Amino acid sequence: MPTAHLFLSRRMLALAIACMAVLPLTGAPDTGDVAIVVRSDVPVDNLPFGELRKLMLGERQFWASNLKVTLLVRAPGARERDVVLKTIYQMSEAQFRQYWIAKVFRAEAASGPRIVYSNEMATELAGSIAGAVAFVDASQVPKGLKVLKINGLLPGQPGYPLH
Amino acid sequence: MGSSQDMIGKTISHYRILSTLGQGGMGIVYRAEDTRLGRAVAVKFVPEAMASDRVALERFQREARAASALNHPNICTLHDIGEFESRPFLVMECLEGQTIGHRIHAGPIGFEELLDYSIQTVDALEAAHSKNIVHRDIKPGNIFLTARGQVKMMDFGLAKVTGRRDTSGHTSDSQTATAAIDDLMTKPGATLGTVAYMSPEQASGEDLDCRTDLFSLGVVLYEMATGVSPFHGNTTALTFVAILHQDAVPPTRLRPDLPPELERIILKCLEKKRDLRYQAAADIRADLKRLRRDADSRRVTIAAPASSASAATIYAPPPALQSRDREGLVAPPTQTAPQPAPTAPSSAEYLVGGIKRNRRTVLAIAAAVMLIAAAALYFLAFREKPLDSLAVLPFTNVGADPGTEYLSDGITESIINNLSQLPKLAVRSFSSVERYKGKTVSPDEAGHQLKVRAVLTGRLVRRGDDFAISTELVDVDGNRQLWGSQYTVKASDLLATQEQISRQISEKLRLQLSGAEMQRLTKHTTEDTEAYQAYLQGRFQWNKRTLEGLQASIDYFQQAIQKDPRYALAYAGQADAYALLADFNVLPTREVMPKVRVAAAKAIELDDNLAEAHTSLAWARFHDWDWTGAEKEFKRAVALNASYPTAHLWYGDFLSALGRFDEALPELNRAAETNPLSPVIGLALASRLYYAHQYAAAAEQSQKTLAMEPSFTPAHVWLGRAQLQKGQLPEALAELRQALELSEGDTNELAILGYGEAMAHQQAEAKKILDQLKERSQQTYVQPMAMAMIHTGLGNRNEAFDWLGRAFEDRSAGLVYLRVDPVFEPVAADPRFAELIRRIGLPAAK
Repeated sequence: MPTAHLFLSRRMLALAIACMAVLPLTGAPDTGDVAIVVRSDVPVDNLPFGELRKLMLGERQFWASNLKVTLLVRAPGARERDVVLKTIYQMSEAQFRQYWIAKVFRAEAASGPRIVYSNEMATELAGSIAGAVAFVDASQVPKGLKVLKINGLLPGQPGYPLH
Repeated sequence: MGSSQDMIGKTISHYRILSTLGQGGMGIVYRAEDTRLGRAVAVKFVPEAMASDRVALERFQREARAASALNHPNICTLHDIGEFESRPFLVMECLEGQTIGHRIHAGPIGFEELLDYSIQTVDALEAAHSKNIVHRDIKPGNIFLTARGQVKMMDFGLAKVTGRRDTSGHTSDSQTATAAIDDLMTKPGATLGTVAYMSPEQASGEDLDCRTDLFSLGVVLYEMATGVSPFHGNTTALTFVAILHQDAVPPTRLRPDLPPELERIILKCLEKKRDLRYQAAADIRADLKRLRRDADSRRVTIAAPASSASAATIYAPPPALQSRDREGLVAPPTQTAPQPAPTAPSSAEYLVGGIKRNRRTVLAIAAAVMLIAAAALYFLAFREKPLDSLAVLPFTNVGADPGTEYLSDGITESIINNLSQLPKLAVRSFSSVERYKGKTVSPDEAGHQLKVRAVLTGRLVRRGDDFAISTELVDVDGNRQLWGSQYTVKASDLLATQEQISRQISEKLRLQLSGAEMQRLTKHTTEDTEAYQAYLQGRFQWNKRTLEGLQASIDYFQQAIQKDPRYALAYAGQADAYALLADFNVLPTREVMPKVRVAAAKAIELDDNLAEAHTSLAWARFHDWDWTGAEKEFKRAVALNASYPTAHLWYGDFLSALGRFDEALPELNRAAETNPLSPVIGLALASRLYYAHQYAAAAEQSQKTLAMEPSFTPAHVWLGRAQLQKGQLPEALAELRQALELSEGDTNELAILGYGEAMAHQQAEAKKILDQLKERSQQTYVQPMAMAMIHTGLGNRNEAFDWLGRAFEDRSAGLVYLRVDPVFEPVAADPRFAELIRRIGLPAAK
């Protein structure tokens, strides 16, 4: 039954990839990279940078037809927020606010990103809200959360863009 | 160890560092999580200098161990000590609130509050002293006040254990103190804050005991009572001289309403010789508690007026303090005060007894009584006249609980708004009085500055679910109290309470109100307390005039509307919040206007007698280029509430835009009269002069505004604009650059600098700014008027008209001034300009 074998091995491979993706990074060398974390049931493992930007700009609001994206962004003053604003939004703090006030005013989004006040709060909400996406220091990702690749790269790998 | 930022996220022992709480001369403090117990803690690293000094380090650890034995509700608990990368650290209870130092800076501390904090502080000291621990660094910055009003003494880790003398050859404490002082003396001004709290024995390097803390406590009490330090000098040396040789000014000279007993307690703490000072913290506590008991017994409860307020009380100071009361101005209580002790003679008995004791004084007393009676008659005749102007100073949020900050401002603003409904009373606007927030100023001083005859002050304290509100109405002439009251209410009763306050004020000001006026005064704008609180939060955020505040205000006004869909003021607030979006470069006016119109119209539909609503609608019509409709609404708003400064301000601005400068002036003057200290109104006067081509006067007016508030960015802009037109190019560019810097690179300020560079023939610089603005516009909105202005300055006529065309499409806010703005004079002769003026509906240029 070669087909069945093939099917099984593909499933095992997928499982192995999934397991690798949710391996806890706590204790990983502190490279200063910022990891993008989601629940393991989010049907995405890798995002091209352009897609990530669309996601953060509220232009892509669903992971899948029934799974809405909820953005979690650290409060002003946190390094993770600075990285997100500088590398993904490419905006100043004022522009970031202007952007989201306008977006909500135009009813293009129900609300702006939810503000989180610590990495713990970010990961806790990312784990409890379906479709939530958070940005945390790569050395502080707890077990059970999936780290998304950007352009095929995980935090710590050369060329990873968020740091 | 790396920088403080590098520490974030690291786990030290079992403490995960979460964020930086503070940083100063005494080291860095982090917020951390105790991963074993799952609780928040504060981790404090000692300064590097101490870390490299073995002797100091050993001593620090010894003392920290002793301090950890202190277990008292008013002492910040020391959980642990440890070392990380050769740097010792302390792990302490994580507190949320503010220090007494911050509280003192936030505004005057009320008598009850002062007693409460003082007794808690003394309790902490007594606990430490009972274990022979001397703090040695008592100062407002080391006394923490939690959000619940609980005092927590901090930094016992740097305290000294007494009762043991070091004979090991190590530096003695007195030597250490002397060395420290010598060090300070060589650094004029260094650590002056701490020096100011030193005891004389500390300043002169003697051995220390518990009484040094009691002196320092006296300095703190003095500062809490008066807002100023008893011993201060421009240098450390002069401060030492003051501590060692000068007597403190008696606190009642600085704050006459303080009880003399409190002054006695403070001055006894401040005795230079420790033998004459209090000998133990327990003695101070006993005196403070006695003072509190006596104050409580003088509190006279009066019947609660017909409202939800549970009780109203008047604090009746002892006779020695009744400088105001002696003049017979305090309303007599409707219930009698607690009966005096049976042994105490009545005042009549005392008087008769006194006369009997000294018959020679009888004639003199009779003459004095006649004089007083004559003065009283004269005064009564005078007080029959109504007091026709009032300032309500921002209510003090006692304890500075950030959670009730919006309420203290909101209640102030609501009382102002209520009273502004009365045509017989000129009430200063909130923005006019806002500068007194957190400041120590006497009512008569504020009254004279604001040119009013009466001043209302108030305090708000949260106690669990209850709010205690106290108010005092003062006649500025003579600084006499007209009325004082206290209310203890639930959050749900705040609305009724503020209406009650407004009504009582109108009575005390002797305003003869018609039935309709009384109805307006006590009108309920909403019955929903949560809606009301959301509205107050919204106004609080909106008044900040920041992007963050604007964003929050939109949310709050929306919440208020959701709670009470018939809440007219909430819709007016929403209209005002949307109206500012174009100014903040969030969206084009074209996009904002429909929602402004809808919100303002809804407010009017719900309450046609609301000046705020008509002002919002007038603004919408103004920017809709409906000139006739706008003027009608402005006139209606002014008629409804002549004291509403925004109505006069925006109406004056509207008239300036139309070139009706002579008519604009009285409106702007009226706004300034209502709100004499407002920089926004000051600048509206400057812009009127600028548009009227009176550039020297415009520059002068801008400078006057800057004198009021030197960091007010728009004032630098208007000064720069006036200087550009006067041909003072270098001065103008300097102002515009300063404005850009102050605004942290705001788009509007960048654009006007671009115009300035163009005018100064710095073409490359101007083009560079044009490129920057184009780049910005890829991400967020940039008003096309900004680009049009720079192109006009560069002489690029076609590009200028191209951008003016886009501004027309966007209905850019700046277009309403097109006819009068000298920036566009170089292109005014072009037929395209006349056509644009025609399409906007402005009168043709002269």
